[in-house]
Amino acid sequence: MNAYAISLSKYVNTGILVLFTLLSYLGFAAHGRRFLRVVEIVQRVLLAAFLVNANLTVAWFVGGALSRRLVLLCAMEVLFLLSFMVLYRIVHEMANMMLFNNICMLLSIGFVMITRICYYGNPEDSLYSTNVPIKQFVMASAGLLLMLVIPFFRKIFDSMRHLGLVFGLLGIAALAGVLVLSVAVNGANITYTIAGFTFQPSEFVKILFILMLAGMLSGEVTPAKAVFVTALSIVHVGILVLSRDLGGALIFFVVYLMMLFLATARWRVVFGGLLLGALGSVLCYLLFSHVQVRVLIWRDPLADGIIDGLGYQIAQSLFALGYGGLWGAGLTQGSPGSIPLVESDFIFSAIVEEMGLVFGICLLLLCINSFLRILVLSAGYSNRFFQLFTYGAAVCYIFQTFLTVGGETKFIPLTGVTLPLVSYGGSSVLSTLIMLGIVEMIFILHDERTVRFMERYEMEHAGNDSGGFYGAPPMNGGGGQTPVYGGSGGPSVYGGTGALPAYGGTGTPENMPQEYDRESYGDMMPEDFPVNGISEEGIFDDY
Amino acid sequence: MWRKKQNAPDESGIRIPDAAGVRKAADMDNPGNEGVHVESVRKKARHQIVFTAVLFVALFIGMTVYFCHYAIENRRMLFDNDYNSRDLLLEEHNRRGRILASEGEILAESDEDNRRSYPYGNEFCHVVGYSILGGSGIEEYMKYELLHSDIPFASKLECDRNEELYPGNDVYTTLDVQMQGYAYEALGDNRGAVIVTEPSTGRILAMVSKPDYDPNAIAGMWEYFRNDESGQAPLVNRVTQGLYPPGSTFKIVDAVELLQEDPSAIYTFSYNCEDGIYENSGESIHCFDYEHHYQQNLEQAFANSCNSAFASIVTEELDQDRFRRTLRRLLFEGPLPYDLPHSVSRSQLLEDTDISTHNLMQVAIGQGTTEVSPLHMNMITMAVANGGVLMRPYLIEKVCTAEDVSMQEYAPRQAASLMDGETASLVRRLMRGVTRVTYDSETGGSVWGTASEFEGTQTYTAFGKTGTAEFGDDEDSHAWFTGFAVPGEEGEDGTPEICITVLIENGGVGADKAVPVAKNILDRWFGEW
Repeated sequence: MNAYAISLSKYVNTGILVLFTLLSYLGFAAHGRRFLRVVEIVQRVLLAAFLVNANLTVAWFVGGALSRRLVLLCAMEVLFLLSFMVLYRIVHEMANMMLFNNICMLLSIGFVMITRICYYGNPEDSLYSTNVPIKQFVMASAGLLLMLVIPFFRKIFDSMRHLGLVFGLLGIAALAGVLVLSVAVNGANITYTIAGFTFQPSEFVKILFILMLAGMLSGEVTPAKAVFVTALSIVHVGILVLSRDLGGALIFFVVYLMMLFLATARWRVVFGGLLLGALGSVLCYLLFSHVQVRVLIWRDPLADGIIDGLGYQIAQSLFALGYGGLWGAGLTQGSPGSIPLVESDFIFSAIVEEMGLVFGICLLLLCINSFLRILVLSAGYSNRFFQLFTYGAAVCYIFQTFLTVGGETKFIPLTGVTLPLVSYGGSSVLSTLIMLGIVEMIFILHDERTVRFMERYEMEHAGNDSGGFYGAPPMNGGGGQTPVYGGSGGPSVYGGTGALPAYGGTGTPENMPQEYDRESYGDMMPEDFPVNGISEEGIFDDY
Repeated sequence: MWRKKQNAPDESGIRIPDAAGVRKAADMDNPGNEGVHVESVRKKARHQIVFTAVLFVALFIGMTVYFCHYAIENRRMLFDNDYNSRDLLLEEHNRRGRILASEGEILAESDEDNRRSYPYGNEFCHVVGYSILGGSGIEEYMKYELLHSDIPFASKLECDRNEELYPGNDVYTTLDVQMQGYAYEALGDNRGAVIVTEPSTGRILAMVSKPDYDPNAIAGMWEYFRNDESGQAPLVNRVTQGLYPPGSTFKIVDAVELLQEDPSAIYTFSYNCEDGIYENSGESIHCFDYEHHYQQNLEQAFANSCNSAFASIVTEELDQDRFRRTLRRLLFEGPLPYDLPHSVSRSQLLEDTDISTHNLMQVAIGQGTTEVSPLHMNMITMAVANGGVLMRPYLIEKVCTAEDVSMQEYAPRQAASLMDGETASLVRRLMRGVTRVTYDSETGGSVWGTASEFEGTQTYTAFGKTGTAEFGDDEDSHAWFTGFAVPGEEGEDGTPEICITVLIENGGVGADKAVPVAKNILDRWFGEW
């Protein structure tokens, strides 16, 4: 058993994640709905297998009462994540489940690593046998619950478009409040402590910031508007720089830059902005000694005089990185506890140390997969507000991932941000899940509207063609009122439970044509389908 | 017209808008968008979004390649760092592997409780080193391999069943137990260093430093060694970490430079050492014991180790800038091609760009601030013996799992060309003169090389150079011998088999103290008696 736990378990973990990642990308390229359904289910099984295998490996070495607690926690994790996955699919039939699966997998990897750090190791470590893993689990569950609930408020989302300025001022107030009221912890982490939970407002302000930009940039972007938005963004970034939250400042700046770039479609924005950003960085370097120190550490953290002081953390991170090799040392076989703040800022190094470089690469591939999925969603929206928010969320997510992994691996200077969804940190997990919840909500909203339009269109043209849009009458079981999405029994295309085979889990009538969905109704479209005044060539030249 | 592919699959996340109808939906159902042409929103945005995707994917690829490369390339360096304590983790599951000599003799092994023992005791103490307290020698250098266990999974299961630790990987060294024994005994009670190498491959056969210590008792002796103020420094490996003025052995370097500038000097050079003293610009230098060497050519001056002749060569004949380049090529003032910790040799000529005549004379005879390690002197000798090409000296032959499956083998590698082949063969000729008695047809007398004790050996032919390095104001001096030997049956022009460097601290005259030690080792190795 020892030999299995040390030598074999790590290959199983890596194998599971490789397969999971592969499926994520396959699902990205594939179109068949039934195939995707299978992928989705296989991914759930893989996720459960990973949690069980990894947690039991840790439990084997922990032993004693602590291991029983661990097994219980593992059971809870599997139960909760799986039920969330199933529930999400049932409640929001149109949700992007592949993205949701990615999120759950990233959360699981974080659970395993945080559990291992806290339950195994030196009893003198500050985290040893604390309830940190339970806290993380509770926060993640709360976040997933929010994700589940957020789409129900989709009706009011449109109106948020006009509240850009309000969000901006709210964010500035929150950031400034912290700067004024709180004392700096660790030089960069500024927090509110409410009822025992420590909140990092900058994590939540990120969402407000993206909402602000999306709202204000969704109309026509006049020069005056652009200047105003820029000023608001500079205030955000400026407060964060003054708060010594360099990572946060960078994330806000890049999100602002990329969103303005998308809104104006001007290439000079992104290149000019990068140039300005570089100049700003140099200015920060010259002005602030703590920036200089970070660059100094980055250049050679292993140098004498640095390794035993300021560079200790990053040096330990590099040791962890080098120890694992391709397949890792095996869970509990490394020494991640030697890295200060490993559970939040250095979780990636800990993962690579014990689960290996291959596992780490797959983890990053999964992050990129999520990023690309969100980006592709934004490309499909014609509503500017939807598009901008989704795009901003994608950039925010991937850039933060880049900052933390790059910092841990000495690719770029360390800025001390968390790895979204994986790192320990209630604010981080919660805010990321809320942000992705909104992304899912927009997706659902958009889908719903598209469908509603299709139906209306079909109604209007019903008389013109024999058979109508949907062909066989039994489809619209209810009758010909205005279709309402999701209404049970309503004559919707997606018709709630049991109306359409492809979405409906339960009760699909056997005699119904299986391909009867939006994928095939195009075939039945009349040849002279009017195309919104655009010539036929015009439709396809884009795609 | 309506191709299936273009209709959006709902779950994949790829929502290629499938028809103009969908686009119209945007107009009808999305409030807002005033002033923006809906049709153009997606069309325009597509370029920006593709750009964003490419940008971040490229960043991630760059980062991933970087850290994977960094982690794999530097895994040993990171593991060996003093601030990394992961070696202790491995010791919980793995039994430290064995260190073996070239014929499989065990130099170090661990028992079930990971207690280390060294069967040869003091004999290999510096080169093999010790494993505790940070470690030294091969124990420290090969820590990564020794502590990892690469036996197959089935064997690990077997170990689990027997409740044993997993045996770590074994390290096979190039060290020859016999040669090490000869060197250890020959050095006797002297303080000093001996290194024996194979010039054609770079294999290190023996490495002895004295005073020594018992690695089996290192834990108990540690405090004693640390507080030791006698200057004996038994923990220091004098072969690699000691720095000594090279004395007359530096004349090899002078000769290399002279013959590189002018190969014909071997015939044309002539110097009259009438009163055993050389004067230039008011500075003077005298031969050892104020000996008078009279009229001599280069070979005789080298064999006699005539200080005056070489002072005149360096001050009058040589081009200083070329000499500096040659010194760098001969590995002065830079790291040696050797993997374990070692000292860097110094030369006054390189440190002092505007060197005085007095100091230049000191440089010529290897005095002053010029300092080399025995390892470095051995490397220069190896290059002479190997036609100018230095093979990288190495200690590790291969690493095997505990089940003797080879994991990694180290082949001989060329380190650098220290001199061209012609120069090497001429210097070799000079070094031959040192170890014999030659008849001088002009004067009718004999020239006794400073190491002429080697005259008449049957089983091997010796080449070499002696040195007596004075230091400080002390009367004592360090005794040097560096040279190589060709097996007897091959004759004078054969391939050198052994390269040996002997240093005896405060030993006095090189010819008297270091040469017998070297001869003793070579005699026993080649079976002279």
